[in-house]
Amino acid sequence: MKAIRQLIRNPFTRGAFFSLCVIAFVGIFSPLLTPYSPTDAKPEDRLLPPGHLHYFGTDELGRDIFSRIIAGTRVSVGIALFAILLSALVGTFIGSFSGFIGRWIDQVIMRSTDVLLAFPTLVLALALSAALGPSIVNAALAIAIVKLPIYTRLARTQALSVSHTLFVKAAKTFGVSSPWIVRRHIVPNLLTPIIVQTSLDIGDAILLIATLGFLGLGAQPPTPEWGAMISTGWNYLLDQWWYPTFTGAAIFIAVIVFNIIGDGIRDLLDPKAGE
Amino acid sequence: MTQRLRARFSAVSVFAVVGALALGMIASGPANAAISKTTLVVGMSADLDYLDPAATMDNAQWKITYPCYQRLVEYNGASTDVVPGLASAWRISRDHLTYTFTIKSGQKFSDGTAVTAKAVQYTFERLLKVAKGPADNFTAIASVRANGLKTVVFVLNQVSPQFLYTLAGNYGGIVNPATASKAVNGDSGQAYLADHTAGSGAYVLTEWKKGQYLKLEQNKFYGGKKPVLETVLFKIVGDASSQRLQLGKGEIDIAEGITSDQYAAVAKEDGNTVINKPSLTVDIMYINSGKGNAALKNTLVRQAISYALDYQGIMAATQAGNATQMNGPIPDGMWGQDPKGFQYTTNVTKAKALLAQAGVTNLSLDLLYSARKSWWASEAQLIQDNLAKAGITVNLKLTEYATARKMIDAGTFDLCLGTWSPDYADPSMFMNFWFDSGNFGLAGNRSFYSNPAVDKLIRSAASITDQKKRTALYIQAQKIVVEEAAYGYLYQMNYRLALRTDVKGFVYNPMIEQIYNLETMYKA
Repeated sequence: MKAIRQLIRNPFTRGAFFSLCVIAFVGIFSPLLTPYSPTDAKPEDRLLPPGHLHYFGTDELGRDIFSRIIAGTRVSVGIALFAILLSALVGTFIGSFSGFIGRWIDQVIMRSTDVLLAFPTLVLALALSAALGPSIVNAALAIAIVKLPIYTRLARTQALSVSHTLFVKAAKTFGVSSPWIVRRHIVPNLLTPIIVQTSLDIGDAILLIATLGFLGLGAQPPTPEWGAMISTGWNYLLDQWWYPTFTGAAIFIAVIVFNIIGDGIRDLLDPKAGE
Repeated sequence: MTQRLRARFSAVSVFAVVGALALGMIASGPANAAISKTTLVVGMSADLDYLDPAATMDNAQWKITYPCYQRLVEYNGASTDVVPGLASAWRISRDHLTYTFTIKSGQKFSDGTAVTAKAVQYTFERLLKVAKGPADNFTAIASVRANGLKTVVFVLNQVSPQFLYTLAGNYGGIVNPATASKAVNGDSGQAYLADHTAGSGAYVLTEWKKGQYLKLEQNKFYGGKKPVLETVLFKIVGDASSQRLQLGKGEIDIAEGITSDQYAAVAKEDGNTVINKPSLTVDIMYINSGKGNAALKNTLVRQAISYALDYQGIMAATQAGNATQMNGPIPDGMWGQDPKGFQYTTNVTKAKALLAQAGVTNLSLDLLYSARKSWWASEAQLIQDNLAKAGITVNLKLTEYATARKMIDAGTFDLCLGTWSPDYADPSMFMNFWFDSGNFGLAGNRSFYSNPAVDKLIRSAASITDQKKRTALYIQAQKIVVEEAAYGYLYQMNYRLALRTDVKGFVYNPMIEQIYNLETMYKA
């Protein structure tokens, strides 16, 4: 609660925070908020300009773009959240074991993350989701894997320093098991940097999901995913500007909001960044 | 930090691209004729692959080869009749089994050698030896023999009413026998002819920069009237919006890649015009009754699918209404069509009843399509939506074109989108290709449909020359294949082409669609 109060003290992050609440609301209640079915085609209403019936116009199959963007919020933002949380969870545990146990396990894990980090993010995500087969779940998995080394390294560095503290050494001396130490001593001490990193990564993940969708590797039709909508929509840009424009604006706003929130959380939790 | 910046940067770039394109449209302004009057620039959406007339069956490649080769007979302007080409005259024996052609004198290949009867013999022997798609049109040839320099005799092993017309197709292009020396590993020069031309037509392919353009220049030895256009550039412009902008600026004279919804706006722009003519090209859905989902073997299920489709909606969404719903496999304008043929209308209740009668529940089908046609993505989504309303789940399988073709050939799909255009004005182009159980796969019967009664009707129709009797047999066969819903008979589309108003003399012939009569076109 205190954190939120601090977050809304800055007018910049305050705006972002309220936008985030709106996005969350829209995502959670999207089936109740769509004026039309986001997937039902109505060819007789195709490519209508924005008006009082269709706020953002209609697409090439006569579907309401406003409804599709709302329904797409759950898909795009939800999947991005899922991918990043999965990545953070798995990465934290792999990383903290790696740092705490050390020896050859640490070597194997760290060299593997080096390999993953050597690939450009998008190329790796593309290769993975193409190999897994185009679907939204596979795209999420691909993003989770691509982001994994960041969390693993972060957690490992933190775990290394924590494992040399007196209280961990004491626990070891008393014969406490490794999993218990990791769970009770290490993980709680590295939560802060992980949360900061997570909040900074969500915007990036939304873009990655949209990029994969744009290239046909994410959500499959008729799922209203933002990237896939732009992929079809940009062919209509010259005559039906509303089709790609509103969808692009949705991605733009969502990513900006998450990035500002991420910045705010970092400033809040990172002792080095504080003024 | 850098990562965060990159994320923000990409978000901004989405907007930047949108904005830049919009600005580009505004900035394009009035046209400035950048190209000379003797150069024609055609914008096409994708690069081509192989140009050997004995191997290619794709109209997109034919637009290069057709003006580079000559044929014994040629289509007469926009009509489906043939007139003398390389052959000045021909005689057909009374039993319709021997065709004797006299070669016109003064015709020369692009290397200056004369076109002789030997070259004709070489061309057809080579074509049959290569045995790719084009050879399927010439199965009736028993022998082809040059008799001196000027006379060539074709002997057929069966009566083939369409034989003369197949000679006017792209595969009838006479190839310079000198290319025999280019053969590697006994490929009859296929590798060489894949990216070279060696004909006696008005043009020669002089340059091919992969992924960028193909350049045609005049054949110095061409025996006909010298064309006006000196150079024809086929420029690859992948994106439809760029093609439209380049057309508006006069950077290209013809834009092939304009999408269905853009035509109306393109036609209104200054200096552009759109040709819109009824064609014989049809857009259909293959319903795999042979190798697909077992439920599709049941006629009731196929009928249910045909009743579930929203034909008007599909035509509106994919062709902006520039299409006519089919009533049977043969399009309107082709003889042999059954004018009273049954036409499926959208009736979801009936579709559900038929499915219930067939005892089929929870049917889930894979719909295969590629990005080859710009409208297939919309069409596939509409069909998915239509069939969902009747209780059939459709999984969209967007597949790369080459892979999709292999899958069509092997029959590993349930439903698939396709187009078909006739190469000669004979209903066998539809009936015998689509329904003969000996033609499974890419050869033509892409629904893997098999009905011995239909086989018998269409085979006998293709072996006689009396048009009245043939029509009667084809109509009988049409009634069966429509009743049994062997295909999803969707629509016959209009041919639309966007070009600059100063491009004159283009003649559209539905038999050689996508091909330009470069010999007689000019710019004013």
